[in-house]
Amino acid sequence: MSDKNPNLISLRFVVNGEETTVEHVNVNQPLKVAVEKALKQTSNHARDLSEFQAKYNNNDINLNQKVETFNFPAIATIYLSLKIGQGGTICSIH
Amino acid sequence: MEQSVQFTDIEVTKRKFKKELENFLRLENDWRLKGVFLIKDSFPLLEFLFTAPKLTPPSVVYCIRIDFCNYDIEAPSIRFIHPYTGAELTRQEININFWQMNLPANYQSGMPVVPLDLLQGRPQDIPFICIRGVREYHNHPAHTGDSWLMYRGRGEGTLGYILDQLYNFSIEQLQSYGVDLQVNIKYNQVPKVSISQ
Repeated sequence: MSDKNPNLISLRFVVNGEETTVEHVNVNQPLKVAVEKALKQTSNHARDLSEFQAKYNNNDINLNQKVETFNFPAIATIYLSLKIGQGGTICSIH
Repeated sequence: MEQSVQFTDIEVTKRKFKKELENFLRLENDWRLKGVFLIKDSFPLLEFLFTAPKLTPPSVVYCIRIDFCNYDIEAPSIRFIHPYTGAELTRQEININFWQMNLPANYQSGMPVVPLDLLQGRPQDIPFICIRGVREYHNHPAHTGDSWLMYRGRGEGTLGYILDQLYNFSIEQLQSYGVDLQVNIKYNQVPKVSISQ
C-alpha cells in the first residue's frame, strides 16, 4: 500500500495464466477499472470484459463492486479466465 | 501415439513454446497450490499432473500431454495419458467429467439443466476436450466453421488458458470423495463332520 495515499493499492492479476500487477488501484473505483488495466497489460485489451470470469479465493466476484468492499489483503491475487462459450456439444461424425 | 509432423519453422515454434513454458514457471507456485504440476518438459511436449488438493487424502485425478508441434499455426493438442506409463487413455479410463453448465437465457429456478461434458468421446475412444483453442476441437468435422485462425493470438490456446480451463471444469468442481459399495450376502456354513463306520 502507498505511504502517501491509503486509497491506492496494488493488485495482482493472473489473466489466462499470465501474471501482471496493476499499481495505484483506487479502492473507491469499481474493480473492473483495474481489471481493464490488467487486460491491457497482458495484451488482452481487444477482448470485452464480459468475455472473462473473475475469481478471488475460488469464488466468482462482481467486477462492478468497489475495490474497498473486497477488503483485499496485501498479496491478493485475482484470476481472470476466458469464458469458453457453449462447449461440449455432441460431436457426431455422421 | 500419433506423431505430429512439424511443417512450420521449428525455431519459431521453439521460441513460442519457450515463452508459454516461462509464463507457466513464473506461476509455478500458484499452479502447485491448485494441484497442477509440470512433470515432463520435452519439446514440443509438456506433461502435467492434475491432483485434488481439496480432498483428504489428496490424489492424482488425471494426467495430460500437450503437444505444441507447429504452434501457433496450429492449436496445441491435448491427450489424456496414464500418469505412470504415459500411455494414451480411452474415455472410460478417465475417471472424471469436465462439466459445463450453461443456463439458458430464459432460465427460472427449478428448471432442469443438463450439464455438458467437455471431454468428448465414446467409452472406447481416445477422447478430446471440446473447447476452442484445442487442436482436436478445430480439426473435428463438426467444427469446420470455427477455425483456429480466428482465435490464434487472442488468448485461446495458450498454455495458461488450457490449464485454466481444464482446472476450472474439473479439479475446482471436486467437493469430496464418493464411495460406491456393492454388498454381497452369503451364508456362513460350517459343515457337519461325520465319521464313516
